[in-house]
Amino acid sequence: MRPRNFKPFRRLVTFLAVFCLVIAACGNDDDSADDPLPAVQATAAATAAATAAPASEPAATAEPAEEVSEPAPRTEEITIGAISTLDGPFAGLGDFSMHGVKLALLEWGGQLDGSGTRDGVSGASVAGVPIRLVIEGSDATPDVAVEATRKMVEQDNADIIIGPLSGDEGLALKDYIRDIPEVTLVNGTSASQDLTLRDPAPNVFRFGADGAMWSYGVGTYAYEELGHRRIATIAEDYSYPYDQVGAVLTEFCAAGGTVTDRIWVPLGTQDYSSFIAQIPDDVDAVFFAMGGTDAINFVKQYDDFTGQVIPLIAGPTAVDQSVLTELGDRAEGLISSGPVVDDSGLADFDAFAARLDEVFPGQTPNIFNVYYYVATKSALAALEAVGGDLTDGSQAFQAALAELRWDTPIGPVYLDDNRQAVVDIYLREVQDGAQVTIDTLPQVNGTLGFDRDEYIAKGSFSRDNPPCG
Amino acid sequence: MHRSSVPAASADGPLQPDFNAALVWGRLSRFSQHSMARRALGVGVAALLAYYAVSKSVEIGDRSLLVLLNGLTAAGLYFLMASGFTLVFGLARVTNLAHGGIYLLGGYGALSVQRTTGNWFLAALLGALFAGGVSVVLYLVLRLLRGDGLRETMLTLGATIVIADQVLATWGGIPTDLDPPSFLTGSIDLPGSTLLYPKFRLAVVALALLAGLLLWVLLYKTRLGMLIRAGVDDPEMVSVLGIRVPLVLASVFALAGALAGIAGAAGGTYLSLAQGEDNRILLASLIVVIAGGLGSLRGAGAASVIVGLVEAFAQTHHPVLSVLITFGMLTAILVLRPHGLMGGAADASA
Amino acid sequence: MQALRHSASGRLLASCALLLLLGAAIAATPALVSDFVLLQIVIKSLWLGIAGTSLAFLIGQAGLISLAQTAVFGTSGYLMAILVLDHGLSIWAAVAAAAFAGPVSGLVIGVISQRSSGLYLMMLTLAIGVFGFFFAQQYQPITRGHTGFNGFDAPIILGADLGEREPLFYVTAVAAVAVVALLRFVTRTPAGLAYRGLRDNRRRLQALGYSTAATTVSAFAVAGFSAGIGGVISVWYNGAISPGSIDLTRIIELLIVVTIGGTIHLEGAFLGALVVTLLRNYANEFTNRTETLVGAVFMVIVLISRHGLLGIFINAKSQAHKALKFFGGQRLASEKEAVV
Repeated sequence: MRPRNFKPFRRLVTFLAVFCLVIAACGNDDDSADDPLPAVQATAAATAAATAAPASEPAATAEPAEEVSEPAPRTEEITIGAISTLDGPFAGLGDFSMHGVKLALLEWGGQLDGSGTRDGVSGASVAGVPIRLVIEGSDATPDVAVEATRKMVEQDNADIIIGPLSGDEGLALKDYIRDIPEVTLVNGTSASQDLTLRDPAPNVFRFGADGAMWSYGVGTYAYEELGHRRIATIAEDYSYPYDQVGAVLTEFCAAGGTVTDRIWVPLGTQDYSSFIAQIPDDVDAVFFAMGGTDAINFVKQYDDFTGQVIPLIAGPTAVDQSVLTELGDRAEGLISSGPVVDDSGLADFDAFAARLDEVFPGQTPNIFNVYYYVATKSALAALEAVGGDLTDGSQAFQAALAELRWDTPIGPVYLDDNRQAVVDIYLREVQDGAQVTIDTLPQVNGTLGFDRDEYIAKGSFSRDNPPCG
Repeated sequence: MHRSSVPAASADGPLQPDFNAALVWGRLSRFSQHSMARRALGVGVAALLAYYAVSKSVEIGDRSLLVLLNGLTAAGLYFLMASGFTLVFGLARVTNLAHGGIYLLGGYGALSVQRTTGNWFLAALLGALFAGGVSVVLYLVLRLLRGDGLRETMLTLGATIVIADQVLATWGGIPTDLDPPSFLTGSIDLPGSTLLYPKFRLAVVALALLAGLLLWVLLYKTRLGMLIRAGVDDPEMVSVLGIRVPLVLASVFALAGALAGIAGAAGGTYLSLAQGEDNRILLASLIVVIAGGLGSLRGAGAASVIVGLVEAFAQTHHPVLSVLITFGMLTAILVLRPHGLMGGAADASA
Repeated sequence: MQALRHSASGRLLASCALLLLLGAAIAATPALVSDFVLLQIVIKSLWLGIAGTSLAFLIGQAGLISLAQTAVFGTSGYLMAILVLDHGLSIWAAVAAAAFAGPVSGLVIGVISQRSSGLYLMMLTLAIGVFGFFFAQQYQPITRGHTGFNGFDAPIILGADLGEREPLFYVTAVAAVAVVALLRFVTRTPAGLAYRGLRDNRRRLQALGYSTAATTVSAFAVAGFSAGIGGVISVWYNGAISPGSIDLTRIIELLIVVTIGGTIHLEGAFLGALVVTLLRNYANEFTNRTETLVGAVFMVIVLISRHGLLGIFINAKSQAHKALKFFGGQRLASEKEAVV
């Protein structure tokens, strides 16, 4: 019996020794095998040093140049890391996102490495500085999003992060990226208000709208134009739908309307029948805010159970072009507000749609590919403006981003003091499977037109905020 | 087999503090198992719950009919899933965590067929065959492990990860659905009210009843069924009798897979097909199977109705906490009947 | 050699030497790897492994397959975050409460599931684990719902900020060693023997006057301790906790960790955690289909080894011993036992 008391420790040590060896081996592997371009490796240490001590002297410029082409441009490359949901329930949306990223890089001379989602783009350059793209995926949980981003920043030396896709991932990444001032986050489609509204980070930029902005205008339209006085809302039970419902009710109630029921459906529900049964008969309309599978399940079941006698008003992503085909005829006539319409007539939009279809056959514009495209192109344009120079800890680059104004495929955009975009939002209706403009609401800002302090004082939208008479 | 023997080997003597605690615990738990007390408690709680359910239902008037039908529809889908799951467990002692993945394969397989032929029934049939085939392949891989329950379960877990990712690779990540056959499209008016009910959902209930009937015929009126039942009761005896057990096992796996495949086609029609649906349906059917008693087909039937109804009721009256109520009910059932509604003690210790 | 091993002073000497070695290995690790690897591979593997030991302990020692360990993990992590961020409690009081919450929630789960065993227990605890996830997601007054808690600052211990990587690594490593030592200690007490009785022969355990219920409940409580510690450190590591930290994917991941590592030794959990962490971080460099690769690797390991990677390793060692014996060398009895 006795020796057994001794053996465990021996095993433990053996194990730990192996553990350490493996770790060490991995560490070495990463340094030597990770990067296809050996020239860049030398700069890795320098950049890492810069990470440890921000705004240190531009050490990286001292590196010997291997491909000497012109006298001025450095051969140091800039790495863009793109993150979206490539696994889990939103995996399909992750594909769309990456289409947008790659399309922007193609405009700067890049070439697709392959047709897979994780296949990058090579050969792109801005102001003579080569751009490298690394792609990481999450499963829409904040923990995984932070790990994936950390890998891109610390191991692949990413200078600019494009993404993420979902709201809570965005909040987690804001906390992470805030501590690394020389790295810049340009948001993809994370629509959480507090990415920019409350406690913004200086190196986080959003060139799109948040969930509340996407829903702007539809509450007023429902009251004024459609004549609705009493509505019910039904939405998934988390922060992004709270923002959508909140924005709609803020307007609708201010105009004099009332909300009878706010029905919150737990995430993970397939069968909406028992939730639909709660919608009262005596309302004028039902506002619903859902995404992906949930939108399809809800609209289909609402149609089957009620024959759509009470009209639906949709949230922005519920009738996004990414699910419109699958919704089919049931979506015809649905009113919503949102960032992307198919008939805007903007030349940039038509060019984007044509290019998208050319590079990724069969793809059409939706929130995800447009927003990731706009984010990536904004970053590249700002890079162009500073001559591809990030050696000052990205300060000039971030200043250029903050000042950037350009006409995106979905309208003009510029940033406010919180680095939140002021954008055009479209009031739209589904006709023949396409989003058709009813009205354009120009220059919607992050506080929905309210005074900033007043807006923030209203508190975050939640299950029962805003109150409504 | 035993790395160390049970307390006899302990030189420290039996009077350890935890040992005393064990005795006290034993007495306490014996007291709580006292049948009269338990029965009285059960009746009391059941009466309260029944009163609550009835009063809540009266409150919403004829919509309670909707709640009832919604519960039955859910029960139908759950039964299609749970019956196969529980059969496989009863006979092969495998907890097939890939059952949700097979549901998804059946649904997507049917989707591909429907897109080419436009026929729902052909689609559902081929989807079921496809799912049954995959299930048999899974069985063949599982055979390599020769009845090591935990490892078999782990293997099905690995399989479910691979299946989900391959579904994503093949059919993409955008949610989609099947169109119901034309004569089941649309809704009917519920008698005595202004409410509508979708025809296809009623068909799902009918489908589940049909499946239950066929399973009963199969199990109690055919030679294969006799073998299956014998195998559930005493697997060793069946093999001693010179019956080709692997063949029986394979056919049960095929049957379970086909049922999951049909469920996938049905669920893919009135719900939708997407990444993550496999986990949703697996969880739902696990709850049904545990509540009903592992290995018991009648238990699966009873539990799917109970779970479906409780779920529909909770979603209607307590939407935000509905998921928690479903799980609370499961816990309550297990506290009262540790092996599920119809599970025997033998199932539990398997 | 044999005589030395058996003598008490020899044992003490050897233990001290080994502890020193272990200490040296821990001390050297930060110097050997990059900052990134230290945090995202080493520290992550360590806390995932700590959480894994709770499951490895339950399966390997007591034969109880529990998928509810993420619920324990989450209870501790959430409790700490709630106490600090919502109630302004001092961090160490919150840590103490969270550490205490581990065994307590383990106890509760044990009480609920004490009458089940085998695969039935596995499914019941899966339901409990998923309940934990839904509770975190739906019960907003306490848990802040889907968003969860962000911006949690790790504590400062003896002037070292655990928000920094090296201090966090040392603390995590010490916690890992302590948790393993504690669990190992428990396995050598009479209670530990009772757990093995539960695993190997329930009837005999009962015949000897032990209550299987009490044994099960106490095993869950002991395991709850290490799951709770894992939960606390995970919140320091992530600076956040949300329902996504304890969802079904994470439940399955913990099971994969333990299965890959093998359950004959608690330390296997760390090996499993390392393999899973490496796969999650680097698999996408070889393939567009990460999940398929993870699933396939997992299936292969399950197929070829009864006791995971550590089982393969020990089997190989035991084969070597057999060969040695053939040539007149001596074989250690316990080595063979372990492989059965």
